[in-house]
Amino acid sequence: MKNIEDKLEKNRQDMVIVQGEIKDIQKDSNDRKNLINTLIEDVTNLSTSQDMPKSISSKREDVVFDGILSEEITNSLGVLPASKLKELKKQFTNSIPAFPPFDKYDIFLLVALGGLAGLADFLLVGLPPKTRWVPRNEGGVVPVGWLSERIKSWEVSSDNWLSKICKVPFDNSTLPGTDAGFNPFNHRLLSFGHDPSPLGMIFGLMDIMSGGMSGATRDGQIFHITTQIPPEKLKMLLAPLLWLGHLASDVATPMGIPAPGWALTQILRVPAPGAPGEATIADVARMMYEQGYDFRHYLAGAMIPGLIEIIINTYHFIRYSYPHKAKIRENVISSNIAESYIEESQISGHKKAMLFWAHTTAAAINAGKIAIQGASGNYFSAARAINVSQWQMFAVRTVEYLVYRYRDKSLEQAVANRKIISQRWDDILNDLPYALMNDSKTPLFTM
Amino acid sequence: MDVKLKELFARYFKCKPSDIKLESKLKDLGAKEWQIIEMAMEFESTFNIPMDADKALSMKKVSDWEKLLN
Repeated sequence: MKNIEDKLEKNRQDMVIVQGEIKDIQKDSNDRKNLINTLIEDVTNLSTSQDMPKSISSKREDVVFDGILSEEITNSLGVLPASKLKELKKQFTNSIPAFPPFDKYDIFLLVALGGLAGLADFLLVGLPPKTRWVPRNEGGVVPVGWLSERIKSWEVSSDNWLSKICKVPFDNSTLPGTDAGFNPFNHRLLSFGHDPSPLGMIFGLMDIMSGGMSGATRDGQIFHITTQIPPEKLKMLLAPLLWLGHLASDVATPMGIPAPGWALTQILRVPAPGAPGEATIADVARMMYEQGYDFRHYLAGAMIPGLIEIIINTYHFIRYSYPHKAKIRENVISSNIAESYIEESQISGHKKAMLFWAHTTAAAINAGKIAIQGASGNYFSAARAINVSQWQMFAVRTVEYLVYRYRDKSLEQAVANRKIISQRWDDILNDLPYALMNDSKTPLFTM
Repeated sequence: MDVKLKELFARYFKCKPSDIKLESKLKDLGAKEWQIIEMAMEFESTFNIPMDADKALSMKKVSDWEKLLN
């Protein structure tokens, strides 16, 4: 009995000693932790410092920076080679990926959307229905789009009731006695007021209020002339309605109205890449319009980027945004503002990446359609295969993707690295009992 | 030769009016296919003679166009 009591007493004394040693180790670990943080800060400052020495010497496995770090720090750190510091810095800066990764459902959706976009581009959008200015032997294998044909099958005369009500001064179809090159088949492209865009609205309102006509000649010269229709006060008040009404009266006529922004192409007197006969971008755009590429065909093409946007936004809301908002409402996410902000930012980035890749796929398929039509037909038929609205959306989403890609990740890195460091300290503390094993190879205590 | 027709050819094919003769071929005047089609649009609105791309491209000489005016 006495022996057992003696052994128990000895064990209690050993426990006190071990507890004291554990406290010393913890204190030592905290000191090392602080020193490592200081070292990382010093290394970060070094990399941005203008006075960084040209040579960094090292002997054995000790790190010695020529007078940059104090000897106390390097001695306290013990063995920490320069390569390890470099690796630490790399881990620090690469702890956050550029974009949250896609899972199999995301990838499946992107691939499916790409395939559907391709089919829609070839079959539904295709080429615009031909006008009489398209040669019969033009060639090409891309068919006239079903949707485009359906939209353009609804046709009204240029002399309809709405056009009689919404008379505007910029509707001259010819300019006799000038070299402007106006004719009934291109005047809506060459006059700025017919452009269904904010630019067209500005010039259209200006022309209505001044009784004039603004546009560009066939040779790219911008002009403004007064017309036979003088300005009236009532027309000035109703100018926006007159403008809209006039465009509505023209949209379903045989030539239709140009695609948004198309009027601006008439000042681009730059040679179009690969165009025959030194045709400029203005010439190619004009031929596209004259051969059927009008606002209705533009709308048919806009169906593809529109559907991509609707489908991805809906999918993303259901899978990611709504559950995240639900967690916030239920206070499941911690009240840590930084972490909440980071999660929202990553959800937004994930959506931006999905939209970018979906539009990239659709634009690439359209590029293929243009190439196929160009190889089998002529240049202008290939130009009519361009889905302008798709390329516009691709440009917008690319800019958003790049802005997010090169965002300032300091906050995200700081939070993520803090978590990594905390996890590693937990791992060290969990391993500590096993580091103090006695000869029987069993831990003296458990945490 | 009709003066308006000559001016039309000169403007669209970027050639001198003095180079345009009745027996001249459009190709020799430097006319490209798309320029002929565009010229045909203004031809129709100037002379009120219906045109289309195939008809325009089938007329290879200046005299072919002049005949339409008579």
